[in-house]
Amino acid sequence: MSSATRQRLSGSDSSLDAWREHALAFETEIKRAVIGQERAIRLLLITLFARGHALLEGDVGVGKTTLLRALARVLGGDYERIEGTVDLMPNDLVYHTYIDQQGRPAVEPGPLLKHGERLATFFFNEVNRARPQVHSLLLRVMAERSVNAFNRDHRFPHLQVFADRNRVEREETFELPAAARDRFLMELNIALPAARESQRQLLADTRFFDVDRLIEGLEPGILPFEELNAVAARIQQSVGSSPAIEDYALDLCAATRDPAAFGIVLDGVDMQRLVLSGVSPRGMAMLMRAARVAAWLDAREVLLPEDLHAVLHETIAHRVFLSPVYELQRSALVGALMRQLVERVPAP
Amino acid sequence: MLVFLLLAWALVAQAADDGGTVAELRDTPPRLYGWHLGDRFEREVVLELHAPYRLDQASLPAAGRLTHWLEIAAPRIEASEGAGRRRYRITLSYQLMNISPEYPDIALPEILLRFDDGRDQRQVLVPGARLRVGALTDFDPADLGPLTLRPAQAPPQLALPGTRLALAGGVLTVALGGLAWLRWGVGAGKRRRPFVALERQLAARQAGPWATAEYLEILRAVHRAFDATAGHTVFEVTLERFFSEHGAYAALEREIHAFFRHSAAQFFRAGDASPAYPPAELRRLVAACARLERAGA
Repeated sequence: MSSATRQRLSGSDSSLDAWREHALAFETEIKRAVIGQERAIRLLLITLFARGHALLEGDVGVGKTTLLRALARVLGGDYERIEGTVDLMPNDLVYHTYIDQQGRPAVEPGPLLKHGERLATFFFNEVNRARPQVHSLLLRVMAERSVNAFNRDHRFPHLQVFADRNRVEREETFELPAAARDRFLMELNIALPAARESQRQLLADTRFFDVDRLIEGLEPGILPFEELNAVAARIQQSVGSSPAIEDYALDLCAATRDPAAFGIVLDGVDMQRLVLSGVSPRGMAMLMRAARVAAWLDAREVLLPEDLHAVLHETIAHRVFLSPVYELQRSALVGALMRQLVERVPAP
Repeated sequence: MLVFLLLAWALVAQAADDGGTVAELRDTPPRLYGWHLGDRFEREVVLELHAPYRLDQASLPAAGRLTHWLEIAAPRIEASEGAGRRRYRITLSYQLMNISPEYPDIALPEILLRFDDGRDQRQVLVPGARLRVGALTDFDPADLGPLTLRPAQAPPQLALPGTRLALAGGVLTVALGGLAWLRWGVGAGKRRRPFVALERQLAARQAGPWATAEYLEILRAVHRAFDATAGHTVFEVTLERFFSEHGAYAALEREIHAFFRHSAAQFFRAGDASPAYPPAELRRLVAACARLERAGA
């Protein structure tokens, strides 16, 4: 995509059609570096235009970090990355202290503050290795896009948090509290590319061996990140929802709270005891927000059931909290529950 | 039981004193039960002799295999003198080298300790004992008292009057009959043939035109008939799956696609300019699907 085209996109009078073209170009550019993750890339694109935060989960070495680095590169804006460790404290995100060359103590802004309002992508690697105090700070940053430090509020209007955690290791980790998980628009599972040809490329194509060069080869700043908030609002206004689709979305969310009422049955599960807490009102709003972006990317101005289905699992599965007796089987049970939602909840 | 054995042990040891030359003989045996193959245990004997008597250390058991069951290490001896007495603390270390389920009691051999004053030789017997192999506690089958299980108690008979029994029987019969009706009777046929049932419902309605609310209600009923046929919710985008699972309906593929397209326009695309699905077309579609059901599709 040429810079001239990008300049035409800049400005509030750019049409949503032009923005869609750029969004799809953005998606194509990321696919140059990350192969076999088409669905994850599409969902991250939806997250971007829904102005949400995303949590990536998957096995070790499946490309979570590469995917997020590619996204940050192609999006533009400032990018910051921090590694979750057991000794990381909230202050480490806000400032750091050191002895300067004159031997005097000095204070410098930390990873959150040093980019100011240009901070667009904050990548929190291995978020579940950080302690609950850090999660608490993250909660505020995600919800309010601001943090209070040095006696004033610092705002990050363009900030999106992308966190990841590997699902293999659980030792010395701190599970994210329900409130923090609820603030993520999506929780994506990044799996090994299913197609053998994709695996072969990752195995044999030397282009994928040097991640730094791979990322540097992507065209930077395809989307003017400063305008995403305004465009996201226009997208939400441009995609209409009928009472029937709203009823359907309400039923989907209600079925997460009382699956038995919708005839959902899972093998070997007492459906009356399965769910402790279903989708919250915030989750319901996020489901609709993400579905509207999915409809817009498909060049539609109305919401259809398939738009809800496109984002259903990733948007609401992590907001369903199971009884402790079923929590150990969470991955299998919630996956089956999400499939049953689509199978059993009637529409229209 | 254990206390009794220890008491007997001490008494026997004391009784083995010879001629008043032994001021004290104290034997601390190992516990008498709960041993396993390979276990090591110690036995401590304290012997106090009036001077000038001395222990003949050659009277102690030599290191090596002691019996078929036991091995013994070289005895450790701590000797001291004072107040006209010689005191010997003898530590004997045994190891259980063999066991047999048929012989749970292992004999710990007695020891005949000799001592002399250079002219007069005397001896004292440290008695043997029996160690039990296997059980952690000393088992006495006659002492099961508090552990004895109570016999099962028969539940008390409920006194049900005849009328209540008859009523319960009647309710049970009706319930079983209802279940059988749902499973094999007319209800089952209706449940498995949603389009046949819907066709009858449409026949009971006037030909049309229908009011908007009634029209939407009928569209929903057709959707539910497709859902019931498929066993899951059918959407416009999942029709291919429906046709692959219910091949007979592929003959109506064009009409069914048209229905879903028109229905989506009605329900989801508010303000869509698509014309409403004509009632006559709807009746024809339902009738065609009902025919497929009757044909066993």
